[in-house]
Amino acid sequence: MFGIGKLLGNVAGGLLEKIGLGKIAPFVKMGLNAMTGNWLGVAQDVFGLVSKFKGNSLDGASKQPPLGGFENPVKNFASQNNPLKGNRLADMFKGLSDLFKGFKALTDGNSGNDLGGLGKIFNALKALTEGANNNQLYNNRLSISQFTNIQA
Amino acid sequence: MVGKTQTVREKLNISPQEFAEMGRVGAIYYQQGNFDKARTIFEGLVELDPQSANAHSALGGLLTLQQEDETAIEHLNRAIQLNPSQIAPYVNLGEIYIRQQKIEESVANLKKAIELDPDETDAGANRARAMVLGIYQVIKSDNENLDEINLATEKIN
Repeated sequence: MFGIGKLLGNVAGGLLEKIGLGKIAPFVKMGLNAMTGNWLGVAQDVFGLVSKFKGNSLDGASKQPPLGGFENPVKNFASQNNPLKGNRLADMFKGLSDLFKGFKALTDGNSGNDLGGLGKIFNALKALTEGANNNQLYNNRLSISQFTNIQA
Repeated sequence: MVGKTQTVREKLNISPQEFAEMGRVGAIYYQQGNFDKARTIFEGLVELDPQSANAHSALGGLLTLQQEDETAIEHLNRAIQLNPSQIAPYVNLGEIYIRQQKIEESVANLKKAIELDPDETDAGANRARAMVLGIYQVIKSDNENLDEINLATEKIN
């Protein structure tokens, strides 16, 4: 059992500000005022959801928009060994370079070609490689990754 | 860009584990506030594997933060299409639709996020709960006669 007063107390106490949503009230108000659809249905949904809250969970609310699976190592990556060693990233660069050359040869002269996608992959691999030399990144022991092995 | 049956990730022999680890590096940058680096990585991952729900979800989440709403919506919807049981895309769509004052769409997405986390353990779903509480508070403060409506509030005391 919980009290709605306590939950609303969290909101009044700055819960939304703490998670970067302190300014949603005016948007909600304007949105509700402009609603032409099922206002009652929306209100029922909201009240029904709140009535089922068990409470005590709001302190653990994500402070930024959540990313999904990449934030959760347990669900996606069981191995303790980090697979992204420096040599492996170099292999990927080489493979991408070969792919880039082949793709460019195939599409040269074609105004509709799209090398932008490969360029984005190149930039991503570059950022990952730069990260391999970033001690601060890897020493973030509280983070979600097992990056201690990446330093070659 | 490449054949329909093979992604660039597969062409480069990047394993799912390696791909996930790349995503985790992006997530660390994101958590550290280095959004440019995180974005560079997530955009690359979407190109590496356009079938990855995680990549679309991560890029959509970052774009939600950066308030590039229309592009974010595209990636979040694609993430849901690829994996309807991921919580994060619903949470972020809920946030964007609040910004766009589309409260009905927002509540529908927040509701899905919350229903996918009945134990209240997911940080993203709890962010959705916080948003729902914010909406609840506005509705209550703007509507003095709400008690006349049956709003399933029997547990609220």
